[in-house]
Amino acid sequence: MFSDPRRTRHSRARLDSVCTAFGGILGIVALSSTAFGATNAQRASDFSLLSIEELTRIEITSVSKSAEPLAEAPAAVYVISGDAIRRSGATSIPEALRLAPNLHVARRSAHSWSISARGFNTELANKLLVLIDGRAVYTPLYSGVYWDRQDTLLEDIDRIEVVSGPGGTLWGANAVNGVINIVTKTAAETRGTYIEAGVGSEIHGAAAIRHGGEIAPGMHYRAYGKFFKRDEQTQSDGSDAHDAWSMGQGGFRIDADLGPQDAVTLQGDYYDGREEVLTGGTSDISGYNILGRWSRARSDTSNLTLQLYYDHTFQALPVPALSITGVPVAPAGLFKDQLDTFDLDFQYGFRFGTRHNVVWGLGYRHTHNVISDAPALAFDPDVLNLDLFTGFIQDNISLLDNLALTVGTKVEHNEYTGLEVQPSVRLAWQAFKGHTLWAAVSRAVRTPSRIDRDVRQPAPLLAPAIENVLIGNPNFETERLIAYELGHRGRIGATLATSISFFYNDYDDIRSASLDPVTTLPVFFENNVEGETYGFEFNALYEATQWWRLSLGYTLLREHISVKSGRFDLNNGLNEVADPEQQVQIRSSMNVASNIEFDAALRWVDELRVNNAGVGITSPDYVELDVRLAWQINEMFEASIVGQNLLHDEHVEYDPRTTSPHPEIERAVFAKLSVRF
Amino acid sequence: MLACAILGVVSVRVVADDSVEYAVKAAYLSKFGIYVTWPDSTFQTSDDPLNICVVGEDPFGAALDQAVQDKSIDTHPVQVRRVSAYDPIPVCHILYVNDEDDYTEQGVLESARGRAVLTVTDGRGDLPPPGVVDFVVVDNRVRFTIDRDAAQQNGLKIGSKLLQLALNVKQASAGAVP
Repeated sequence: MFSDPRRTRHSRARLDSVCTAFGGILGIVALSSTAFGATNAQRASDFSLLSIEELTRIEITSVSKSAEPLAEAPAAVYVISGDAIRRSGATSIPEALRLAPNLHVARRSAHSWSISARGFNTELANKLLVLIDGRAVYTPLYSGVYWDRQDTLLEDIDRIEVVSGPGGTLWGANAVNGVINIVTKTAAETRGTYIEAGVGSEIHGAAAIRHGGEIAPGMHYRAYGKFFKRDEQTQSDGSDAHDAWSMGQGGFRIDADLGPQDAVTLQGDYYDGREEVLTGGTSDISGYNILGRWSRARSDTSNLTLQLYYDHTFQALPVPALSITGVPVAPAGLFKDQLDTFDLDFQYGFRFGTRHNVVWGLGYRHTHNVISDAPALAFDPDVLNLDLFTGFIQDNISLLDNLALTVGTKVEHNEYTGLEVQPSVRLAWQAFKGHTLWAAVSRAVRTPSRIDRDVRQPAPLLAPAIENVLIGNPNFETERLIAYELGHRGRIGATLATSISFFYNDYDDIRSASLDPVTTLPVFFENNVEGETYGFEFNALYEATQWWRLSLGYTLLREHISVKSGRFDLNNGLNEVADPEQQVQIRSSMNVASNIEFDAALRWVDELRVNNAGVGITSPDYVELDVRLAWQINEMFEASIVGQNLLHDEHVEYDPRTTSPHPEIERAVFAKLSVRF
Repeated sequence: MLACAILGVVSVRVVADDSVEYAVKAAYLSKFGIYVTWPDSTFQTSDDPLNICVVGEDPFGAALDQAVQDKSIDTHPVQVRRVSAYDPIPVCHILYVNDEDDYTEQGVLESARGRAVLTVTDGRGDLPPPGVVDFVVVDNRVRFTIDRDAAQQNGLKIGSKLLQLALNVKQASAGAVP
């Protein structure tokens, strides 16, 4: 998002964005539209539900005209504001994502998480697209996200937009079940010095510093550095989980206005960390990225943006010896994965006539993946270069004053399956003031990743009788989804806002595992699973008093996943799902005094069943409580105490193993002091 | 990938005029009172209203009334009053005056000086006399500055939360603190 240098106090704003506003209040909101010209008073009551911190973040005009068509697409969106992250006491991005009631966040160990929307949340969850300031961070190795290495200074996050449901038309492949878009503040918004330091039972030490300022009129910078050292969790048998970790990260961002039409951003990060691995040994992680973006607002009615980034990420992972029913198959060894991504995106948006808002774009991505095989985990080929070409077009049409239609499609060409098309149609109707109904039908795909096509689990100790335990399949196809959605958002009076989104998802060609007809092993992947999921996400926010806000989130997810008739799956169609049927969260946010904040969040997560090779194990349902008490000592200093998972010494969120002990997540308490000047 | 990637935004956008800017300012006005302590003598009883006054031309329309609807600060129900530039002070706890007419604004601010009123100006900048709070638009967002000396003169205590959110807290002795 770019600031508008031309805007003076008296200029007449023509467009406005209330990004954080609606997110904050409505929870899961569908996006509004030009057609819905909300009245002044209506919007005022929207804003009055926001905290004063959130008010400071509301953009009152927009220069990114072409953003509108994207933004107006009615969808199930929940926006986590930077202020909400601060008040939650979250210490990492996955913890912050627990704020979104339309996600399921399962912490598997100290440094590993499964995160998904609308199901399919296994260790290899692969149906979510995650972006940090426009940089895609999922790995083409398995189309999932390494959450341990996605970090930034949480204080500098402007908002996290969480879309549940397909985003393929705009974002492309992998945005099957949802999109998480993490947006940091501009450099102009992070002037001054910020220092924080914390220590506690699970965080043995964490510190961060950021400094920002003005380089020249219209040009700002910030630089940050952070470090943390985190304790290991506990195993179910009481022993240490051996998953302690530490990470250092630094970065910068420069935003500059070049004349009245142009704005540029240059930003980058570097990180380096070490993680103990549950199965023994230590994993090294490192990476860096640099991103440049140029945007030109050509007139009031058109806008173009060009973005370029380069991302490098590396992991050395000790892979344990593999044995099957006690028979040694492969010895232990080190697996290395290095990925270099070069990405170029162009986008142009314009108004056409009085009713059309059109946006189109083109993109190119090159990935260079270098694998160094471990005896028990390998990829063939070791080095793989892939080119991805994408294009999209979308039109937002104002049919009537209170009715808007959005139609669009994404077309992409990948080297595995060739051309993929992901269209969507969305309709939004403001039935009456303060109430919007929306409906959407979308097609989304998950294109093959390296694990589907190229993976090998070699069995050197069984060779030559059996070469591999598991192999990818060069004929593995795209997984497909047709999604039907219906949503409502509305407000009742000035103090209550609600949102509900129903979905029915029809999946086809989901990943399955087959056995070699002659030798039984190796297992290989096919697309023999299909099924439906349906459910809804509900969110309500109630401002009880000026100083007390309450929110309620609920999700229901029913899954009917099965093997296609006449086909086979070793896992009976259950290996791709491990999801709670229901989740409830209740949050309370109080300003006990003008300088004291007290926040509490209670969550209940239903039991979930993790299926592995036809054997299922149930992680029981759990209730947990997080609280934060903060004291703004003066305008410089803030002290806070945070308790996470307070109700139990330890609890399980995801248990993938059938026999050996599994990690349990411990209660955590920490204290933090922050200074701002 | 591009789309929101590039724009970095899936946000709610609606076509509008200045109304959003003033809706945000109205929301601020409805909340400033939470962070301000008036002298003990200001309210006679615990259910006395807390009055937000708009002097002269009203840029808010219904927005301000909506923002304070059914709300109270501590025990004081919040009310909005439109007042004339000539007799605003007695009933006002928060007083918003915009700069449509600098002469009027100056007069109002002068007469509020030393009284228990949180004066709020709109882009007045460094022009004397100061209000306690001054709205500014920075980076496309409505922010505000606080003049601590002016607050002190009016016998108001400003909470640290509000001071922390202020862009720069003016203090005659120390000058502007970034």
